[in-house]
Parts: sequence; C-alpha cells; structure tokens
Amino acid sequence: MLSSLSPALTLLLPILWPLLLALGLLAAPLRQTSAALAITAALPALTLALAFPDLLLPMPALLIGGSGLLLDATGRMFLFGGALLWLLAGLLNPAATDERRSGLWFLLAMAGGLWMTLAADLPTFLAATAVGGYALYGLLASQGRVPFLVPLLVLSDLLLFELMLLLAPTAADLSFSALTTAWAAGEAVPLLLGLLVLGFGVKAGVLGVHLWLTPALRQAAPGNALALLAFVLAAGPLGWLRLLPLGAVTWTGAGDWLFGIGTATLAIAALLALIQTRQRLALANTLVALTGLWLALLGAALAAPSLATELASALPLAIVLAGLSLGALLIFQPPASAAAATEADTADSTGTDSPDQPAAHARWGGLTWTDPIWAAAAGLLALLLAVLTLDGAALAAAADRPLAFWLPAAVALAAGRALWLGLRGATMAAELGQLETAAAADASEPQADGIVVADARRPWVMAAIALLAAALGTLLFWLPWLAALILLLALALGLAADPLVRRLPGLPEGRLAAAEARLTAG
Amino acid sequence: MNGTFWLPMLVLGSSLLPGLLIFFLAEDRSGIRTLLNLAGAVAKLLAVLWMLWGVYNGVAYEARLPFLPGLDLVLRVGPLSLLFVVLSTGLWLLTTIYAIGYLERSPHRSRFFGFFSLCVTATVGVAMAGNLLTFVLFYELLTLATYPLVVHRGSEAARQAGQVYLAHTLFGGALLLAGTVWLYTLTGTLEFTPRGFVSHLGETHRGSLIAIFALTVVGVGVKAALVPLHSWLPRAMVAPAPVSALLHAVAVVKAGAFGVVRLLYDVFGAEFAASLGVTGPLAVVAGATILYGSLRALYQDDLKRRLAFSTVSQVAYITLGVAIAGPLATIGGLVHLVHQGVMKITLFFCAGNLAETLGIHKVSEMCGVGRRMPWTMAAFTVGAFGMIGLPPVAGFVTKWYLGIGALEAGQDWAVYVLAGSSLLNAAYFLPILHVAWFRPPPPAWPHEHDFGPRETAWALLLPPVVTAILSVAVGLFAAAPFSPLEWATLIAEREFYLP
Repeated sequence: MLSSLSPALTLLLPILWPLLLALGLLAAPLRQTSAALAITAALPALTLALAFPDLLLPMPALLIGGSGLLLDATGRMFLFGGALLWLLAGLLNPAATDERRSGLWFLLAMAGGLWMTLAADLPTFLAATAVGGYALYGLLASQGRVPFLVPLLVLSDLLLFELMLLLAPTAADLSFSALTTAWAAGEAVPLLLGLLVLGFGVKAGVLGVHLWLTPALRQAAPGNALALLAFVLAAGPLGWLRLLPLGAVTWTGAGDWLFGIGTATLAIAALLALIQTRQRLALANTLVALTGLWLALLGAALAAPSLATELASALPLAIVLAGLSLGALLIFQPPASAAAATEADTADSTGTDSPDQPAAHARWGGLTWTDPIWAAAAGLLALLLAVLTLDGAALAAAADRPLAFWLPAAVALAAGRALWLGLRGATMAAELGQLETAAAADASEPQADGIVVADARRPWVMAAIALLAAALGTLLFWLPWLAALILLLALALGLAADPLVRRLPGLPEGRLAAAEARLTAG
Repeated sequence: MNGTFWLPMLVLGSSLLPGLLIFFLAEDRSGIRTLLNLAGAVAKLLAVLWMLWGVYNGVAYEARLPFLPGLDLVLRVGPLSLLFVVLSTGLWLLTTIYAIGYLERSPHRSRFFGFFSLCVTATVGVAMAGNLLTFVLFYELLTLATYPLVVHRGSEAARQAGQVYLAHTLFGGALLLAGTVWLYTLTGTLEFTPRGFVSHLGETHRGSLIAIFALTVVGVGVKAALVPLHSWLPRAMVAPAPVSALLHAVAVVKAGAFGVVRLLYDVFGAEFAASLGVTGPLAVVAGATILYGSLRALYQDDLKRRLAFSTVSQVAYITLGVAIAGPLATIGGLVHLVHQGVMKITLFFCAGNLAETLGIHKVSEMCGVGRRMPWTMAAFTVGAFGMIGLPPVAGFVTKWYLGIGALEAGQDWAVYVLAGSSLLNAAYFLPILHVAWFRPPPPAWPHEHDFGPRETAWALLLPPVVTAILSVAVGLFAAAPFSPLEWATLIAEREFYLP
C-alpha cells in the first residue's frame, strides 16, 4: 500500500512538511498549531527512509534542467541519520520551534538539510546547501557569534560552482550519475579534486577550512548542536560520496594525495582534541578527525577500485552511525549532583558542601543514583564510536596501507578525551557560561571552566563505571576486544593529559585547576 | 489596419493617454489619478498578454507609420521585444502601486505620474521598435520623460543630478543618432533583421562599420551605465524610490542594455560583429564594468548608492553575455534582462520602504531593522541572495549560463570575472543582512512613521514581496515551459541557428 503512493508525494513531503510548518508560523491564525506540530517536522523524512523502496522523481522544470529527487541506498542512510538528528534537535530545543524567529530558521535549515540528502543532481544539491547553510547560520547566530561560517559558505559555494562549470561540458546533464561518469572518463585533474575536497570540506570540517566548526559547536545549545551535526553530515561527506567516481577509476596519485590529506587532518585534530579542556571542543575536534578518516578512506578507495565497491556500500552507514554516536556524546551531559548545583547558584567561593547534604556526598563518592547510568551510557557510546571507526580500519587495512590501524585508533583517542571531559562532570548550564557569569560577579575568583565537581572522587568513579560498561559490552556482543583496549588507553590518556595540558604554554592555565583548588581548599 | 496594427498601438496608448490626462488633473484629485494609473497599467498588461498569446500562436504584429521618405516608424513585436515589453509592463504595474503608496503625502503628484506614464510609454516603444530610427526616437523620448522624474524633488542635489543625467544621456543620444544616420547612408535601410543587415558591406566599409558600432554602442552604453559612462546613475539616486526602481530595473538601464542587444543581433549580427573584431573589446568593457561597479559598491554607506553601483555591475552581465556571442552566453545575457529586473526592483522597493517608514538611508542605520520590518528585510534577503548568485534565486541561473557560455566560447577569463563579482556581491550584501537581522536595533529610528499594526503601508509592502517571490519562482522553475529562460533560449536559437 505504501508503495502505491506516488513518488512525487513521498519524495516531496519530507522537504515540504517543514516548509509548510514554517509558513504556518508566519500566519498568525496558524501559529499555535504550527508550533505544536513542529516536533513532527522530521517525521515524513524518517518514514521515507525506513518504509519506502528506492524512488526517483524527475523534475525537469527545476533550476537548470534535468533535476530531480532521488532515494537510493546512499541517500537513504543519510536521510535516516539526518531525520533522526533533526527530530532529536527539535525535541531538545523546544524554544527553536516555539519562538517564531528561531522556529523559522530551524525549519528552513531542516528543509534544506533533508533536501540535500534527496537531491539527484548538483544544482539542486547546491540550492539545498544554500538554504540549509544560511538558515543554520541564522539559527546559530541568534544565540551568539558564529565567526567564519558565512565567508566559508560563500567560498564553498564558489568552489562547487566552479567544479560544476568544469565538469558540465563533458557530462550528459548535471545529475550526479552523469557528472561522475564524465569525470571517470577524464583525467584525475588536481584542480577538480582540490575543488571537490575544499568545496565540500568547508562543511565537512577538513582542516584549514574548518574554522567555523569549533566555535559554532562550542557554544551551541544541545538541539542546535545536533542540527549543526546533521548539516555537516549531509553537506560534506555526502557530497564526496555522490561525486567521486569510486570503483570506476584507478587514480593512484590522486588517491594517495587524498589519503595523505585525510591522515593529516585526522592526526592534527586528534592531537588538538587531546589537549582540550572543554568537552565540546574535544568533540568538535573529534568530528574533524572523523572527517579526516573518511577522506583518507575515500582516497584509498580511489586508488584501489576493489576496495571502492566495498566502501561505497559500507561507508554511508559508518558515517551516519558515527555521526549519531557523536551526536549522542554531544548532547550527553551527566547532570551535576544536587549539591554542586546549589554551589553553582550561590557561587560559594569556599567550596564547602551545603550543610544539608554532606553525608550523602561522602558516602557514595559524590555520586547520585543517576550517575552510574550516565557513566555506563557514556562508556557504551564512546565504545560505539571507537568500534565504528575500527570497521573503517578493517577496510583500510584491506588496501594494505601503513597506518591503517592507527587512523581509527586516533579517532578513538579523541573520543576518549571527550568522554573523559564529559565524565568530569561538565553540566550544560556551565558550558553555556552561566557559571562564569555568576563567578564573574566576584572579580578575584578565577572563573570556573564549567566543571562543577562536587567531590574530587566523582570523576574517577564515573570513569571506572564507564570502563566496566565498555568491557561488558565487548564481552556480551563479541565486539573486538581491541576497541575496549583503545578506550582504556584513551581514558588513561585523557586523565594523564590534564596535568600536561595545564603546563602547556599559551593555554588557559587553570579553570580546571581553579575549580579543583577550590574544592581541595574547602 | 487590423488587429496586428492596433494592438501595439494600444500597448503604447494605454499609458500615453492616462499620462496626458493626469497632467491636467488637480493635485487633490487623487482618486481619479489612482484610477487612471491603475486602469492604464492593467489595460497595458492585458494587451501585452493578448499579444503574448498571439505571438505564441504565430501572429506577426506590426504597426507601420510613414515618417520620412523611405523611412517608416515601425512597431514590430517578436519574442525579443515581447521579453522586454512583458517585463516592463508587469513591473510597471507593481511600481505604480508602490508609487501611489510612497508619494501619499508628497506634492506634485500629477506632474509625477504624468511623466511616469510617459516614461513607460517610451520604454515599451523602445522595446517594440522595429527599426533603428523608431528605436532612437523612443530612446530620446525616454530621456526627456525621465528627466523630470529625476529632478522631481526640486532640491539642489536633484537639480545637479538632473544636469549630469541630461548631459550624459543627450550626449549618448547624439552619438547614437550620428551613428544611425551614417549607417543609413551606407545601407539604405534601418529595419531590424535577425543576423543583422550590414554583413554585405563587410569588405568594402569595414572601417566605417567599426566606427558606427563604436558610436552607437557608446550611445546606448550611456543608458546601460557601462564604465566610464555610468556616473549619472549613482547621482540619480536622489530621486524618490519609485523612480530609482523604475530607472534601474525597468526602464532606462534596461533600454540601454536592450539597445546593445538590438545592435549586436539585429543590426550587425553576432557573427559579423565578431568578424569585425568589436565584440572582444565590448566584452572587456563589460567585464571591467562588472568588477568596477562591485568594487565601488563596497565603499558606499548610502543604501541606494550601493544598489546603484550594484546595478552598474549587474547590467553589464547582459552586455557581457551578448558580447561573448556564443549561444549559451547569449541566453545568459538575455535572461538576465528579466532576472536582474525582478531582483533589483525588489531591492529598491525595500530601500524605499526603509526610507519611507523609518527614515533609514544608510547601511549603518540598518542595525536590527529585521525585527522592525521583517517582511521587507526578508524580501531584501531574497534579492541579495539573487545578486550573489545563490540558488534557488534567479541570479544563479544567469551566472550558470554566462559561465558555461564563456567556457563554450573559449573566453575563460569571463569565468574569473563572474567569480570575482560573486565574491564582491557577497562582500557588500551579506554584511547588510547580518547587521539587519542579528544586531540589536537602536533606541530610536531616524524618522519613524506609524503605519499601525503592520510594518508599513500595504502599497509599500506588497510589491517587494511579490517581486521577491517572483525572483525565487523564476529561478526555481527556470527550466519549466514559458519561463524567462525558455524564452531567452528561443530567442537565442532564432539568432544563432535558424536560417
């Protein structure tokens, strides 16, 4: 029955529904209804990804002709991931859909993001990216400065436009399949590859043009962070997957170059993640590291067509799942324990526990009953991320490349650092700087890093629980033991890095140190 | 004298007659004036649509009036003229509505609307001209009809702007006339012919033809605001916003660009002009204009002046497209007549709204205006995105055809010019958008008028919203039948492929 619905309706609805809701927000009589329904905005997309077969809707009247909407295996993965992320983003950020202005940005960004995954040709993809990207800017900018995003969007649009101009003369039309075929028939022109890598790399977070990603992710509210992640996945790696002629060419030189760039991105980003003191920044760098990994794998596939077929089917799933687990880590914030929250409110500088609850703290190492659950969940999430990247390692190893093992391991290290920082007890409120605002009232007090630790033992206990959960997961599901080992190392590194990080010149000395000093003094 | 004669005459008359009548209306008869204006605009639109249907079905409209021995005044309607006529008529209706709202409390409205109507009469005359003589005639009438609009406010700045305007346009007109006369003495005819009517003189009068080309192109280039003939345009911004909108989107600059198109296709013929070696320099001048206009726009704080320099740059896209003289580039240039028209008029309508409602004339005064006037700024955003060339707004389609056309014709340098222009457009439009949407508003606007619960008057709000929607529709559905792009493709085919 489902398949009897016309392709037009099923492919258009995921994009039109958010747009219609946005229009509803504009009209006063419909505003309430639209705001209430806005939570469902991503549901048509999710349904399409899960319940419908591959579909094609040619729309020759659109833009510069030959355009259309397409649901194929690759797109389905990204549609699923994107829809899920957008759904969660809407749930987590009710203000986005309540308040008229950010609701509009949110719904427009969603429409653009979902359209990207369904685009069958490059001009439509670019149109979707323009709508989604600038609407995303609107969403993020209403909460704070988002430097670099707009100039980089402009640059990216320009680079991709030039790419389209260069590929078009030899292509039958501008659909992805035609462009890929035309490119495969030609040479491995460095200019084209450069335009491709940088053009989509701006959104994916390739090192050098990723400058917008870190500040944007750092200050975004949880829902907006997920929206950002959804945009990154759809606008970056998906573009590479659509346009690279994987399996049809053996471009060893070009493949090696891409592998090198990917590896470099990964290595640098992983290092950067390790020295972070804020969880969000560590996660941002983990995302950049993931991008580097994917780029390296694509490079390996360009050089070895046999690898390409395997990769072409496995990589979309790996990317989406990695993105989802990263998203989960992004919004994962174990709450501060009750006493810590009280401490934050009163900005008490001595760090003593409030008189009413010292006993509870001392007995359980500062944990409340929800903390072990959070810790276990965090451990499993980070494990998932590590495992997924290891799968990529298996594929890369098939290409007989050196460093094949260490690439995903680097990603796992970065994720481990982020996990450690999360377990240290960062709270979302603190991340958003409310604690700093309170502390700033007392000028002599160095500002807290957003680490609110009621008891210095708490993070250790949480880390132990996370590790236990990871080990248990390994045993129960027969996942590679290697993943658990890497996670252990990552946590250890994360732990060991703290004192090192504080000693590195140029880095902010000690919000961490200041918070801990407060506690040990009190 | 049958339908094919009277319909073009009706199109002319539907604005000429109301215009002449409005001159005699007393200042306070606003009801009748509005009625005449709108009736004329609607009548014109209906006549044009009828003509559109006719041309689509193969009817040839021609109105021929004897003028001089051997020379007639000819109005002939084909796809190219219809493109310009439909654009002018449609946008004139919207501008009339806008002007009625804008000049609500202003003096000398009868004078204004009288010349307003004459202006659009001259414009459609330019569009429908069937030979160079008729073209020149209506071209000069356009100058004379628009001068009073430029100096309408009567201030010292307006007078000076009018002087500069007149000096430039009369100079251009003189050159155009000289070129036309010279051409007539060589060829004995001035009828617009597809592929041109001078190629048979190629061997014998090469030098003369090049000189004639230079004269006539400079003549129309003044109105088309090609550098260095453009300086009248920013100065003319002292005129009221409806005039700026009309001048910059509908009438004057488009008439100039249209003149370039006519000269290149229906007088000289694209291939013949290329063989004369004149299209190359013209393309370079256009490219220089594109970059110069955008560079100057970066440094303007006055909003309308910034938009004026943007127009200088954008209209040169049309010249670039036709001067590159390949089929795809031609399509790009021709379709930009429409695209630039709808996008630019949106921006000018919005600028007028800001000035009329809040007293804002400068970009630096626009902080937070998106909160106060969201619909106006939304329309402005769409127009700005179109100027930058972002899909799905119409400017993307033009950019694509110009780019791919330049590559096809082997003129790769033009791609760099377009890239540079896009970057510059982003540089002077995106900061405006950021400031308007994301900066906090000032405690008080420079000069706020209260329009009740709405952000501004209906007559001021509706036109930019309509043209913004059109800008997106025309871009998003560019490949649909009956779109401006399909139309431009048809015109280009007739020029390049049909015998």
